[in-house]
Amino acid sequence: MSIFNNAALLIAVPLLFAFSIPLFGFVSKQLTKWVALFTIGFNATFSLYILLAHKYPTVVVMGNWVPPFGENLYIGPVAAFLVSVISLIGLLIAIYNLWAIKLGDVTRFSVLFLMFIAGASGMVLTGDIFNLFIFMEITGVSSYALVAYGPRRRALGGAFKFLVVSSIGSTLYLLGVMLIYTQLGTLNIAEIAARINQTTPGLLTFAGILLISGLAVEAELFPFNGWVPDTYTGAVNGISAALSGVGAIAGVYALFRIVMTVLGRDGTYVFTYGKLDLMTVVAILATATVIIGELSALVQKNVKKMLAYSSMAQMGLVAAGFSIGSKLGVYGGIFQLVNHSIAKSMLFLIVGVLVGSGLGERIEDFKGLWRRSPFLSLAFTIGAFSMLGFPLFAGFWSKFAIVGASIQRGGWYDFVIGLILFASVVEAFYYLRIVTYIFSSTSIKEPKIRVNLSPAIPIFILAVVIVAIGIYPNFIGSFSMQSAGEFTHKMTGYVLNVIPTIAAH
Amino acid sequence: MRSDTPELFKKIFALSAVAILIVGFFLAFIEMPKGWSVNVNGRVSRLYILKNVRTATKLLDSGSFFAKGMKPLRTDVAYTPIEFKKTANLEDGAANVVTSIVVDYRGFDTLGEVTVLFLAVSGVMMLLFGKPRKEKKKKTEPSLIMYVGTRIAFSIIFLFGIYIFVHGHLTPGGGFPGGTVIASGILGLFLGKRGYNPNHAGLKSFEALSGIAFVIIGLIGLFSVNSFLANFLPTGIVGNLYSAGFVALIYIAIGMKVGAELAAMVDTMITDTEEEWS
Repeated sequence: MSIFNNAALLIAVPLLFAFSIPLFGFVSKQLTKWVALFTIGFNATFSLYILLAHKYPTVVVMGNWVPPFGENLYIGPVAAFLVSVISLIGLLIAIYNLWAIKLGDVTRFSVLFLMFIAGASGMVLTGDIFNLFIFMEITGVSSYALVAYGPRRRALGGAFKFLVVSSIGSTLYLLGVMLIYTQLGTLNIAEIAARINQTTPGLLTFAGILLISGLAVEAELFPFNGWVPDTYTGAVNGISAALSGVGAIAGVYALFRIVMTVLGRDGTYVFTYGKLDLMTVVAILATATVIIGELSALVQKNVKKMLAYSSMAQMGLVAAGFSIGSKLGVYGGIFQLVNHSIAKSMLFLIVGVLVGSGLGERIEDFKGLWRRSPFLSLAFTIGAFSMLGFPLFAGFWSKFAIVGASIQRGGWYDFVIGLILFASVVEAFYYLRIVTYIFSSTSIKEPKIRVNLSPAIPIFILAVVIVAIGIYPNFIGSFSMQSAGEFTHKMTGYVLNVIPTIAAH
Repeated sequence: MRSDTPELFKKIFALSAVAILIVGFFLAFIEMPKGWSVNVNGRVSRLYILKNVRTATKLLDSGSFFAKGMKPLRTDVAYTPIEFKKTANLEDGAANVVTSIVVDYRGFDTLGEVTVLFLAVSGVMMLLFGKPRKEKKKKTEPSLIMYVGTRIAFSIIFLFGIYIFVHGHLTPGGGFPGGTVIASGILGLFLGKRGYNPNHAGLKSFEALSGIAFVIIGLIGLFSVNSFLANFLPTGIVGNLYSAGFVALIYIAIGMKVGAELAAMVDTMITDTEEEWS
């Protein structure tokens, strides 16, 4: 067990600055956005240092109580990689916010945005199931308020719905944690993972179902994703980008940390202990999510709502990839998760720029965009191609890995992948429809769209990253492969790194 | 309010949430062994929970529950009972065991809980942000009894709140209840006098500074004991006011933060604002 306690700064510094942002607000409202930007920038630098200097796997001990007696953070390959992705995307959205967020209560907005990113990082870092609940609450509470931010309080309904659904989900999760605690008397993920087969199978299955239904709210799985369309459509575009790019990563990570590491049983394919194989349950939910999401997205006339349903469907695809349970499947899942975050947050930022310059949100409003802004049109096309898995764009490699893994597994996964491929055709249809609209010309002469520097930087960087991953997939793929090993081999990948002396039961 | 979610989605969500609970409890119930006894093949039986309270009381009275089969974890160290006001330098040193778990062993969770409250209050303030409305709504003037009474009660409530959070490591209570008590005193001031206007900048900076203090206490632990939120002070003698190391300091920070925060939220909710988007 290597200990790297300074990594606690990944949580401590955002908290410190979140508490002090109201003081900066006395100086200037606009200054607070820069404070949030620099704090997320610190997180991004530090997490990239941990990732690139190969400081992982390591344990961060909290309060000098070594695990399993106290709380700890665990930075394995997954946490190091996903925290870097979360804070980099958060940093880019913070740069966009410099331009987009000017009105209303900017001070509180910066506090909430900063804590949303920090909460998502905390969910990925933590090594304790109750601490995971706390970070879920931090991410959740800040996102309810952020969603409701905006002119004419457009998303108040969506935010309220999100609040209700997410609170029910949190309560179910807490019940599950309670059941596991009554059985094993510990909250440490590593110790629970090592001793999970000492529990009563029926209670364990019930606890697992409760945990899954609580986490599926944030991971956007059917039937717990009713909040997605309202929230994404109503929120300002930077927040929609953050929800789909950052919140979804944390949600999916937490779901599969619980299902695969805590409840799982190692093997070529990961199954779970208990009366019911919960990986199968997740696979069924994921397939249902993909089909419902894609078919709902097909009929939408509003671009933001279409992207929201598409986001839901992509989360289903990611979950299906993870639920195959083999190393290749988890690799595809993580890769697709990161690709989706990059592409979807870019698409939302582009819609934000377009709405900011007076364009509508309907699909017809995209007609002739090529004439008005070649930069945004190209970026949107790159994002759309990556989403639908066009060869030589980022999304292709991850979808390819998921399809390959499920064919390798065979059995009823042939059926799953058949449905998913059908849904992907639907996805290709509605994304290509918008791309066609963009490049079709209109007779009316309209003025060019001027893109400011602050929204242009994140869009440009994200577009370049998508093309770069498409040409050289190993860039992200090698990290994804290491991360997949942590999920599929829970004893060597996780438990023994946290508590070296524990014996598997 | 916009509502774009299909009705079917909501029904499916509600039904599945209820169904999970019912099916799960049923599954857990049939899984447990039959009978009334505590231990059937190493597991707790179905109906044990029904007679749990009665049996447990009986066992506690006769002293057989804890004595049976209990062995000390370590035999190499002589067992010394902890005596109030005498034993010194314990692992944690707080007389209130709940506090030692909440603030010391799981202090990171408490930092998170404080943040959740802070974010909830920030969210409410962001949503209600705006200019105070020009024409005030007509409200009844509080009576003289209310006016005088809240003023007298305020000082007592305030003192009581401070007492609760300063003695968090000794008696039941702590930062969260103490802060709430203080905020209820300020709520009384709002009710007692129309147009009562607290010092907004003062409340804000008080709240911010106490939050910063909590994180800085944690960071001192990181740089002196090399672990975030580690206890870096001597734990002292159990039961003394100056004991339990940094637990008291953290509870004071939490108490001040929660008090200022809830008071500011009461202020935001009482003030009638119109939405400002400029």
